Amino acid sequence: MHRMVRAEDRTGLIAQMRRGALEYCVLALLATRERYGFELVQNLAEVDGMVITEGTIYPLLTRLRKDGEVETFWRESSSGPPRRYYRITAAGREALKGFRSEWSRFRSAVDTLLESGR
Amino acid sequence: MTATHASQIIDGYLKRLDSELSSFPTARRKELEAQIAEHIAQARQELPAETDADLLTILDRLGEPDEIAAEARASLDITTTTKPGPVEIFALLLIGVGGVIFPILPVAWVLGTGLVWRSRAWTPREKYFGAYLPLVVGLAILVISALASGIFGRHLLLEVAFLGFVIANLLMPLGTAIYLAARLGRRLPILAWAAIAIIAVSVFLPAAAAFIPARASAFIATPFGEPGLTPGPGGPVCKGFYGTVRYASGLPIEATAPVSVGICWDGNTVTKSWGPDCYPNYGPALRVQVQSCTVESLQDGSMIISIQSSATATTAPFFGQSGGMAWRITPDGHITQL
Repeated sequence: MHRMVRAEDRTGLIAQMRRGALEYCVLALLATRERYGFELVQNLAEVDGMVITEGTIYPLLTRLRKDGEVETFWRESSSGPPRRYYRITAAGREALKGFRSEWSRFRSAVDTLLESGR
Repeated sequence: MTATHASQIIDGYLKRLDSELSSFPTARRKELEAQIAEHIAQARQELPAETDADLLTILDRLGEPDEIAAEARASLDITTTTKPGPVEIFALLLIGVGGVIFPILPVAWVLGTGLVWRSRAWTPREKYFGAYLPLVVGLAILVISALASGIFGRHLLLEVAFLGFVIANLLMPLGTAIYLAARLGRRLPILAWAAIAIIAVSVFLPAAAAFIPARASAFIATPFGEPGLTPGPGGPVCKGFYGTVRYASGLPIEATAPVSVGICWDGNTVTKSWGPDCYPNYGPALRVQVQSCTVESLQDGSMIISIQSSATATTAPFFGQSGGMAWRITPDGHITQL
Protein backbone atom coordinates (compact mmCIF):
# COMPACT_ATOMS: atom_id res chain seq x y z
CA MET A 1 0.00 0.00 0.00
CA HIS A 2 2.74 2.38 0.96
CA ARG A 3 4.69 1.63 -2.20
CA MET A 4 1.62 2.19 -4.35
CA VAL A 5 1.11 5.65 -2.93
CA ARG A 6 4.72 6.50 -3.65
CA ALA A 7 4.38 5.32 -7.24
CA GLU A 8 1.29 7.50 -7.72
CA ASP A 9 3.16 10.46 -6.30
CA ARG A 10 5.89 9.98 -8.84
CA THR A 11 3.55 9.80 -11.84
CA GLY A 12 1.77 12.85 -10.48
CA LEU A 13 5.06 14.69 -10.30
CA ILE A 14 6.01 13.71 -13.84
CA ALA A 15 2.58 14.82 -15.05
CA GLN A 16 3.02 18.16 -13.31
CA MET A 17 6.49 18.62 -14.76
CA ARG A 18 5.20 17.71 -18.17
CA ARG A 19 2.33 20.16 -17.85
CA GLY A 20 4.68 22.90 -16.71
CA ALA A 21 7.15 22.32 -19.53
CA LEU A 22 4.47 21.71 -22.17
CA GLU A 23 3.37 25.30 -22.34
CA TYR A 24 6.90 26.38 -23.23
CA CYS A 25 7.12 23.64 -25.84
CA VAL A 26 3.94 25.08 -27.33
CA LEU A 27 5.44 28.56 -27.25
CA ALA A 28 8.65 27.22 -28.84
CA LEU A 29 6.71 25.61 -31.69
CA LEU A 30 4.71 28.78 -32.23
CA ALA A 31 7.88 30.87 -32.14
CA THR A 32 9.00 29.29 -35.42
CA ARG A 33 5.66 29.90 -37.15
CA GLU A 34 1.94 30.16 -36.50
CA ARG A 35 0.03 26.88 -36.53
CA TYR A 36 -3.55 25.68 -36.34
CA GLY A 37 -4.75 23.44 -33.52
CA PHE A 38 -4.52 20.02 -35.09
CA GLU A 39 -1.17 20.82 -36.69
CA LEU A 40 0.26 22.01 -33.37
CA VAL A 41 -1.01 18.96 -31.55
CA GLN A 42 0.50 16.66 -34.18
CA ASN A 43 3.86 18.41 -33.96
CA LEU A 44 3.87 17.96 -30.21
CA ALA A 45 2.72 14.34 -30.43
CA GLU A 46 5.58 13.52 -32.80
CA VAL A 47 7.97 13.95 -29.87
CA ASP A 48 7.73 10.84 -27.70
CA GLY A 49 6.63 11.30 -24.11
CA MET A 50 5.44 14.89 -24.43
CA VAL A 51 1.73 14.49 -24.96
CA ILE A 52 -0.39 11.66 -23.67
CA THR A 53 -3.85 12.95 -24.38
CA GLU A 54 -3.99 15.38 -27.28
CA GLY A 55 -7.20 17.02 -26.08
CA THR A 56 -5.43 18.45 -23.05
CA ILE A 57 -3.41 20.81 -25.28
CA TYR A 58 -6.47 22.96 -25.89
CA PRO A 59 -7.09 24.11 -22.30
CA LEU A 60 -3.40 25.01 -22.25
CA LEU A 61 -3.76 27.09 -25.44
CA THR A 62 -6.73 28.85 -23.89
CA ARG A 63 -4.70 29.69 -20.81
CA LEU A 64 -1.83 31.02 -22.88
CA ARG A 65 -4.30 33.15 -24.81
CA LYS A 66 -5.82 34.46 -21.58
CA ASP A 67 -2.34 35.27 -20.28
CA GLY A 68 -1.59 37.17 -23.49
CA GLU A 69 1.28 34.92 -24.55
CA VAL A 70 -0.57 33.55 -27.56
CA GLU A 71 -3.20 35.08 -29.81
CA THR A 72 -5.65 33.43 -32.17
CA PHE A 73 -6.89 34.38 -35.60
CA TRP A 74 -8.85 32.72 -38.38
CA ARG A 75 -7.40 31.81 -41.72
CA GLU A 76 -9.11 30.30 -44.73
CA SER A 77 -8.18 26.77 -45.60
CA SER A 78 -7.79 25.38 -49.11
CA SER A 79 -9.68 22.30 -48.00
CA GLY A 80 -12.61 22.75 -45.65
CA PRO A 81 -13.73 25.47 -43.26
CA PRO A 82 -11.54 28.31 -41.89
CA ARG A 83 -9.01 27.31 -39.25
CA ARG A 84 -8.25 28.84 -35.87
CA TYR A 85 -4.55 29.67 -35.90
CA TYR A 86 -2.37 30.34 -32.88
CA ARG A 87 0.43 32.92 -32.95
CA ILE A 88 2.99 33.80 -30.27
CA THR A 89 2.94 37.36 -28.89
CA ALA A 90 5.81 39.56 -27.69
CA ALA A 91 4.92 38.59 -24.11
CA GLY A 92 5.01 34.93 -25.14
CA ARG A 93 8.48 35.33 -26.66
CA GLU A 94 9.62 37.03 -23.48
CA ALA A 95 8.27 34.15 -21.35
CA LEU A 96 9.90 31.59 -23.65
CA LYS A 97 13.25 33.38 -23.43
CA GLY A 98 13.06 33.39 -19.64
CA PHE A 99 12.19 29.71 -19.51
CA ARG A 100 14.94 28.74 -21.94
CA SER A 101 17.72 30.11 -19.75
CA GLU A 102 16.15 28.82 -16.51
CA TRP A 103 15.56 25.43 -18.04
CA SER A 104 19.12 24.88 -19.20
CA ARG A 105 20.43 25.78 -15.74
CA PHE A 106 17.86 23.51 -14.09
CA ARG A 107 18.51 20.64 -16.50
CA SER A 108 22.28 20.71 -16.03
CA ALA A 109 21.89 21.02 -12.26
CA VAL A 110 19.58 17.99 -12.11
CA ASP A 111 21.77 16.06 -14.54
CA THR A 112 24.91 16.77 -12.50
CA LEU A 113 23.29 15.58 -9.28
CA LEU A 114 21.65 12.52 -10.82
CA GLU A 115 24.90 11.44 -12.48
CA SER A 116 26.90 11.87 -9.26
CA GLY A 117 24.61 9.43 -7.50
CA ARG A 118 25.18 6.59 -9.96
CA MET B 1 -18.72 3.51 -43.22
CA THR B 2 -21.70 5.79 -43.44
CA ALA B 3 -21.60 9.49 -42.68
CA THR B 4 -24.41 9.11 -40.16
CA HIS B 5 -22.48 6.55 -38.18
CA ALA B 6 -19.40 8.78 -38.06
CA SER B 7 -21.40 11.78 -36.91
CA GLN B 8 -23.06 9.62 -34.26
CA ILE B 9 -19.70 8.62 -32.83
CA ILE B 10 -18.44 12.22 -32.84
CA ASP B 11 -21.69 13.62 -31.45
CA GLY B 12 -21.55 11.10 -28.63
CA TYR B 13 -18.02 12.15 -27.78
CA LEU B 14 -18.84 15.88 -27.89
CA LYS B 15 -21.94 15.30 -25.75
CA ARG B 16 -19.87 13.54 -23.11
CA LEU B 17 -17.38 16.40 -23.22
CA ASP B 18 -20.21 18.90 -22.86
CA SER B 19 -21.53 17.18 -19.75
CA GLU B 20 -18.03 16.97 -18.26
CA LEU B 21 -17.64 20.71 -18.80
CA SER B 22 -21.09 21.62 -17.49
CA SER B 23 -19.69 23.28 -14.36
CA PHE B 24 -17.38 25.51 -16.44
CA PRO B 25 -18.05 29.16 -17.23
CA THR B 26 -19.96 29.30 -20.53
CA ALA B 27 -17.24 31.10 -22.48
CA ARG B 28 -14.58 28.58 -21.44
CA ARG B 29 -16.86 25.64 -22.18
CA LYS B 30 -17.82 26.91 -25.64
CA GLU B 31 -14.22 27.72 -26.58
CA LEU B 32 -12.95 24.30 -25.54
CA GLU B 33 -15.80 22.49 -27.28
CA ALA B 34 -15.16 24.46 -30.47
CA GLN B 35 -11.44 23.69 -30.33
CA ILE B 36 -12.05 19.97 -29.88
CA ALA B 37 -14.68 19.87 -32.64
CA GLU B 38 -12.27 21.69 -34.97
CA HIS B 39 -9.51 19.27 -34.05
CA ILE B 40 -11.71 16.32 -34.98
CA ALA B 41 -12.76 17.96 -38.26
CA GLN B 42 -9.16 18.78 -39.17
CA ALA B 43 -7.98 15.28 -38.27
CA ARG B 44 -10.71 13.75 -40.42
CA GLN B 45 -9.70 15.89 -43.39
CA GLU B 46 -6.26 14.35 -43.38
CA LEU B 47 -7.53 10.79 -43.54
CA PRO B 48 -7.30 9.24 -47.02
CA ALA B 49 -10.30 6.98 -46.45
CA GLU B 50 -12.19 7.19 -43.22
CA THR B 51 -12.95 4.02 -41.32
CA ASP B 52 -14.54 3.47 -37.93
CA ALA B 53 -11.14 2.50 -36.59
CA ASP B 54 -9.59 5.75 -37.85
CA LEU B 55 -12.26 7.79 -36.20
CA LEU B 56 -11.92 5.93 -32.91
CA THR B 57 -8.15 6.44 -33.05
CA ILE B 58 -8.65 10.20 -33.41
CA LEU B 59 -10.94 10.23 -30.35
CA ASP B 60 -8.68 7.87 -28.44
CA ARG B 61 -5.69 10.15 -28.99
CA LEU B 62 -7.72 13.15 -27.91
CA GLY B 63 -8.34 11.43 -24.60
CA GLU B 64 -11.40 10.80 -22.49
CA PRO B 65 -13.64 13.86 -21.99
CA ASP B 66 -13.11 13.67 -18.23
CA GLU B 67 -9.32 13.84 -18.73
CA ILE B 68 -9.67 16.92 -20.90
CA ALA B 69 -12.01 18.48 -18.34
CA ALA B 70 -9.60 17.69 -15.49
CA GLU B 71 -6.71 19.25 -17.40
CA ALA B 72 -8.79 22.32 -18.22
CA ARG B 73 -9.73 22.67 -14.56
CA ALA B 74 -6.09 22.49 -13.52
CA SER B 75 -4.58 24.74 -16.17
CA LEU B 76 -7.39 27.28 -16.41
CA ASP B 77 -7.68 27.52 -12.64
CA ILE B 78 -11.39 26.89 -12.71
CA THR B 79 -12.96 26.49 -9.32
CA THR B 80 -14.65 23.17 -9.12
CA THR B 81 -18.28 23.55 -8.35
CA THR B 82 -20.41 20.79 -6.98
CA LYS B 83 -23.77 19.64 -8.24
CA PRO B 84 -26.55 21.82 -6.84
CA GLY B 85 -28.98 20.23 -4.42
CA PRO B 86 -31.76 21.14 -1.98
CA VAL B 87 -29.64 23.84 -0.32
CA GLU B 88 -29.24 25.71 -3.60
CA ILE B 89 -32.93 25.35 -4.41
CA PHE B 90 -33.84 26.68 -0.96
CA ALA B 91 -31.40 29.58 -1.38
CA LEU B 92 -32.93 30.52 -4.74
CA LEU B 93 -36.44 30.41 -3.29
CA LEU B 94 -35.49 32.42 -0.20
CA ILE B 95 -33.88 35.14 -2.31
CA GLY B 96 -36.39 35.10 -5.15
CA VAL B 97 -39.71 34.93 -3.38
CA GLY B 98 -38.76 35.98 0.15
CA GLY B 99 -39.21 39.66 -0.65
CA VAL B 100 -42.76 39.05 -1.84
CA ILE B 101 -43.80 37.09 1.23
CA PHE B 102 -42.16 39.49 3.68
CA PRO B 103 -41.20 42.77 2.03
CA ILE B 104 -40.60 44.89 5.14
CA LEU B 105 -37.10 43.69 5.94
CA PRO B 106 -34.89 41.71 3.54
CA VAL B 107 -34.53 38.84 6.02
CA ALA B 108 -35.03 36.08 3.47
CA TRP B 109 -32.62 37.76 1.07
CA VAL B 110 -29.91 37.87 3.73
CA LEU B 111 -30.56 34.25 4.79
CA GLY B 112 -30.58 33.06 1.19
CA THR B 113 -27.32 34.89 0.50
CA GLY B 114 -25.86 33.12 3.55
CA LEU B 115 -26.78 29.80 1.95
CA VAL B 116 -25.18 30.92 -1.32
CA TRP B 117 -22.04 31.76 0.63
CA ARG B 118 -21.99 28.23 2.09
CA SER B 119 -22.78 26.58 -1.25
CA ARG B 120 -20.11 25.21 -3.56
CA ALA B 121 -22.37 25.11 -6.60
CA TRP B 122 -21.48 28.66 -7.65
CA THR B 123 -18.02 29.97 -8.45
CA PRO B 124 -16.60 32.75 -6.24
CA ARG B 125 -17.06 35.19 -9.12
CA GLU B 126 -20.72 34.25 -9.56
CA LYS B 127 -21.27 34.63 -5.84
CA TYR B 128 -19.59 38.02 -5.78
CA PHE B 129 -21.41 39.60 -8.72
CA GLY B 130 -24.57 37.55 -8.42
CA ALA B 131 -25.18 37.54 -4.67
CA TYR B 132 -22.95 39.69 -2.46
CA LEU B 133 -22.76 42.84 -4.56
CA PRO B 134 -26.54 43.05 -5.21
CA LEU B 135 -27.24 42.48 -1.52
CA VAL B 136 -24.92 45.29 -0.45
CA VAL B 137 -26.37 47.67 -3.05
CA GLY B 138 -29.93 46.61 -2.12
CA LEU B 139 -29.34 47.17 1.59
CA ALA B 140 -27.84 50.59 0.83
CA ILE B 141 -30.90 51.54 -1.20
CA LEU B 142 -33.18 50.34 1.63
CA VAL B 143 -31.32 52.39 4.23
CA ILE B 144 -31.40 55.50 2.04
CA SER B 145 -35.11 54.95 1.32
CA ALA B 146 -35.86 54.49 5.01
CA LEU B 147 -33.98 57.67 5.86
CA ALA B 148 -35.70 59.57 3.06
CA SER B 149 -39.17 58.58 4.23
CA GLY B 150 -38.43 58.70 7.96
CA ILE B 151 -36.53 61.94 8.36
CA PHE B 152 -37.84 64.12 5.59
CA GLY B 153 -41.27 62.65 5.12
CA ARG B 154 -42.23 64.92 2.25
CA HIS B 155 -44.67 63.59 -0.23
CA LEU B 156 -42.29 63.39 -3.19
CA LEU B 157 -39.60 61.79 -1.07
CA LEU B 158 -42.09 59.21 0.14
CA GLU B 159 -42.73 58.22 -3.43
CA VAL B 160 -39.01 58.01 -4.13
CA ALA B 161 -38.63 55.91 -0.98
CA PHE B 162 -41.43 53.60 -2.06
CA LEU B 163 -39.72 53.16 -5.41
CA GLY B 164 -36.53 52.37 -3.52
CA PHE B 165 -38.31 49.71 -1.50
CA VAL B 166 -39.80 48.13 -4.61
CA ILE B 167 -36.43 48.07 -6.38
CA ALA B 168 -34.35 46.91 -3.42
CA ASN B 169 -36.80 44.51 -1.82
CA LEU B 170 -38.48 42.96 -4.84
CA LEU B 171 -36.76 43.55 -8.14
CA MET B 172 -33.15 43.20 -7.02
CA PRO B 173 -33.52 39.92 -5.10
CA LEU B 174 -35.67 38.57 -7.92
CA GLY B 175 -33.03 39.50 -10.50
CA THR B 176 -30.34 38.00 -8.27
CA ALA B 177 -32.24 34.73 -7.95
CA ILE B 178 -32.81 34.55 -11.71
CA TYR B 179 -29.11 35.16 -12.38
CA LEU B 180 -28.01 32.53 -9.83
CA ALA B 181 -30.55 30.07 -11.20
CA ALA B 182 -29.33 30.67 -14.75
CA ARG B 183 -25.77 29.96 -13.64
CA LEU B 184 -26.85 26.58 -12.29
CA GLY B 185 -28.49 25.92 -15.64
CA ARG B 186 -28.52 22.33 -16.71
CA ARG B 187 -26.75 21.12 -13.58
CA LEU B 188 -30.09 21.24 -11.81
CA PRO B 189 -32.43 18.44 -12.89
CA ILE B 190 -35.56 19.35 -14.79
CA LEU B 191 -37.79 18.19 -11.91
CA ALA B 192 -36.10 20.65 -9.56
CA TRP B 193 -36.69 23.43 -12.09
CA ALA B 194 -40.34 22.44 -12.29
CA ALA B 195 -40.67 22.57 -8.50
CA ILE B 196 -39.01 26.00 -8.34
CA ALA B 197 -41.25 27.29 -11.12
CA ILE B 198 -44.40 26.01 -9.41
CA ILE B 199 -43.48 27.56 -6.07
CA ALA B 200 -42.43 30.84 -7.67
CA VAL B 201 -45.60 31.11 -9.73
CA SER B 202 -47.83 30.25 -6.79
CA VAL B 203 -46.21 32.98 -4.72
CA PHE B 204 -45.92 35.64 -7.41
CA LEU B 205 -49.24 35.15 -9.13
CA PRO B 206 -51.42 36.14 -6.13
CA ALA B 207 -49.12 39.06 -5.39
CA ALA B 208 -49.42 40.23 -8.99
CA ALA B 209 -53.17 39.60 -8.96
CA ALA B 210 -53.49 42.04 -6.07
CA PHE B 211 -52.46 44.81 -8.47
CA ILE B 212 -55.23 44.15 -10.98
CA PRO B 213 -57.84 46.88 -10.49
CA ALA B 214 -61.06 45.63 -8.96
CA ARG B 215 -64.17 45.73 -11.13
CA ALA B 216 -67.77 46.02 -10.07
CA SER B 217 -71.07 45.09 -11.61
CA ALA B 218 -74.67 45.12 -10.40
CA PHE B 219 -78.14 44.20 -11.53
CA ILE B 220 -81.67 44.07 -10.18
CA ALA B 221 -83.64 40.85 -10.39
CA THR B 222 -86.41 38.93 -8.73
CA PRO B 223 -84.78 37.11 -5.88
CA PHE B 224 -85.07 33.38 -5.65
CA GLY B 225 -87.40 32.22 -2.90
CA GLU B 226 -87.77 35.55 -1.13
CA PRO B 227 -91.28 35.84 0.36
CA GLY B 228 -93.54 38.87 0.33
CA LEU B 229 -92.23 40.36 -2.85
CA THR B 230 -95.39 40.21 -4.89
CA PRO B 231 -97.20 43.45 -4.10
CA GLY B 232 -100.69 44.28 -5.26
CA PRO B 233 -101.40 46.45 -8.29
CA GLY B 234 -100.29 50.07 -7.84
CA GLY B 235 -98.13 49.10 -4.89
CA PRO B 236 -94.31 49.27 -4.82
CA VAL B 237 -92.13 46.97 -6.89
CA CYS B 238 -89.92 44.79 -4.71
CA LYS B 239 -86.84 43.05 -6.07
CA GLY B 240 -83.30 42.17 -5.15
CA PHE B 241 -80.20 44.27 -5.81
CA TYR B 242 -77.13 42.17 -6.58
CA GLY B 243 -73.76 43.88 -6.75
CA THR B 244 -70.35 42.28 -7.01
CA VAL B 245 -66.85 43.63 -6.58
CA ARG B 246 -64.41 41.39 -8.45
CA TYR B 247 -60.72 41.15 -7.65
CA ALA B 248 -58.47 39.64 -10.34
CA SER B 249 -61.56 39.77 -12.46
CA GLY B 250 -61.83 37.18 -15.20
CA LEU B 251 -58.85 35.11 -14.02
CA PRO B 252 -59.26 31.61 -12.58
CA ILE B 253 -58.07 32.97 -9.24
CA GLU B 254 -60.85 35.57 -9.10
CA ALA B 255 -62.23 36.44 -5.67
CA THR B 256 -65.35 38.51 -5.04
CA ALA B 257 -67.12 40.63 -2.48
CA PRO B 258 -70.82 40.42 -3.29
CA VAL B 259 -73.55 42.53 -1.80
CA SER B 260 -77.28 41.87 -1.98
CA VAL B 261 -80.10 44.07 -0.72
CA GLY B 262 -83.85 43.66 -0.97
CA ILE B 263 -85.30 46.90 -2.31
CA CYS B 264 -88.77 48.26 -3.07
CA TRP B 265 -89.54 51.36 -5.10
CA ASP B 266 -92.73 53.16 -6.01
CA GLY B 267 -91.50 56.07 -8.13
CA ASN B 268 -91.01 58.40 -5.14
CA THR B 269 -88.71 56.54 -2.77
CA VAL B 270 -86.57 53.43 -2.57
CA THR B 271 -86.84 51.45 0.63
CA LYS B 272 -85.00 48.44 1.97
CA SER B 273 -86.90 45.21 2.60
CA TRP B 274 -83.94 43.03 3.64
CA GLY B 275 -80.18 43.07 3.85
CA PRO B 276 -77.67 44.22 3.11
CA ASP B 277 -75.92 40.87 2.98
CA CYS B 278 -72.19 40.82 2.29
CA TYR B 279 -70.36 37.52 2.38
CA PRO B 280 -66.91 37.57 0.81
CA ASN B 281 -65.83 34.73 -1.45
CA TYR B 282 -62.26 33.64 -1.02
CA GLY B 283 -60.30 32.64 -4.05
CA PRO B 284 -57.27 30.35 -3.96
CA ALA B 285 -54.95 33.31 -4.37
CA LEU B 286 -56.80 36.24 -2.85
CA ARG B 287 -58.37 36.61 0.54
CA VAL B 288 -61.28 39.04 0.56
CA GLN B 289 -62.55 40.85 3.61
CA VAL B 290 -65.55 43.15 3.94
CA GLN B 291 -64.99 46.11 6.21
CA SER B 292 -68.36 47.75 5.84
CA CYS B 293 -71.57 47.10 4.00
CA THR B 294 -74.19 49.83 4.27
CA VAL B 295 -77.44 51.15 2.88
CA GLU B 296 -78.31 54.83 3.09
CA SER B 297 -81.42 56.75 1.99
CA LEU B 298 -81.05 60.12 0.36
CA GLN B 299 -83.35 63.21 0.55
CA ASP B 300 -84.50 62.76 -3.05
CA GLY B 301 -85.81 59.29 -2.25
CA SER B 302 -82.96 57.36 -3.88
CA MET B 303 -80.80 54.86 -2.06
CA ILE B 304 -77.01 54.41 -1.84
CA ILE B 305 -75.63 50.91 -1.39
CA SER B 306 -71.94 50.82 -0.55
CA ILE B 307 -69.42 48.17 0.27
CA GLN B 308 -65.89 48.63 1.52
CA SER B 309 -63.72 45.58 0.95
CA SER B 310 -60.12 44.52 0.57
CA ALA B 311 -58.26 41.68 -1.10
CA THR B 312 -54.94 40.30 0.12
CA ALA B 313 -52.68 37.84 -1.66
CA THR B 314 -52.77 34.56 0.28
CA THR B 315 -49.07 33.95 -0.30
CA ALA B 316 -47.95 37.54 0.22
CA PRO B 317 -49.90 39.18 3.03
CA PHE B 318 -48.38 42.57 2.36
CA PHE B 319 -49.74 42.70 -1.15
CA GLY B 320 -53.30 43.70 -1.56
CA GLN B 321 -55.73 46.45 -2.30
CA SER B 322 -58.79 47.85 -0.71
CA GLY B 323 -61.52 49.90 -2.19
CA GLY B 324 -65.00 51.22 -1.75
CA MET B 325 -67.72 50.71 -4.29
CA ALA B 326 -71.12 52.34 -4.26
CA TRP B 327 -74.28 52.24 -6.33
CA ARG B 328 -77.23 54.59 -6.40
CA ILE B 329 -80.76 53.28 -6.92
CA THR B 330 -83.15 55.93 -8.20
CA PRO B 331 -86.84 55.85 -7.22
CA ASP B 332 -87.71 54.50 -10.68
CA GLY B 333 -85.57 51.38 -10.04
CA HIS B 334 -82.44 52.20 -12.03
CA ILE B 335 -78.84 51.60 -10.95
CA THR B 336 -75.99 54.05 -11.34
CA GLN B 337 -72.50 53.02 -10.32
CA LEU B 338 -70.85 55.81 -8.36
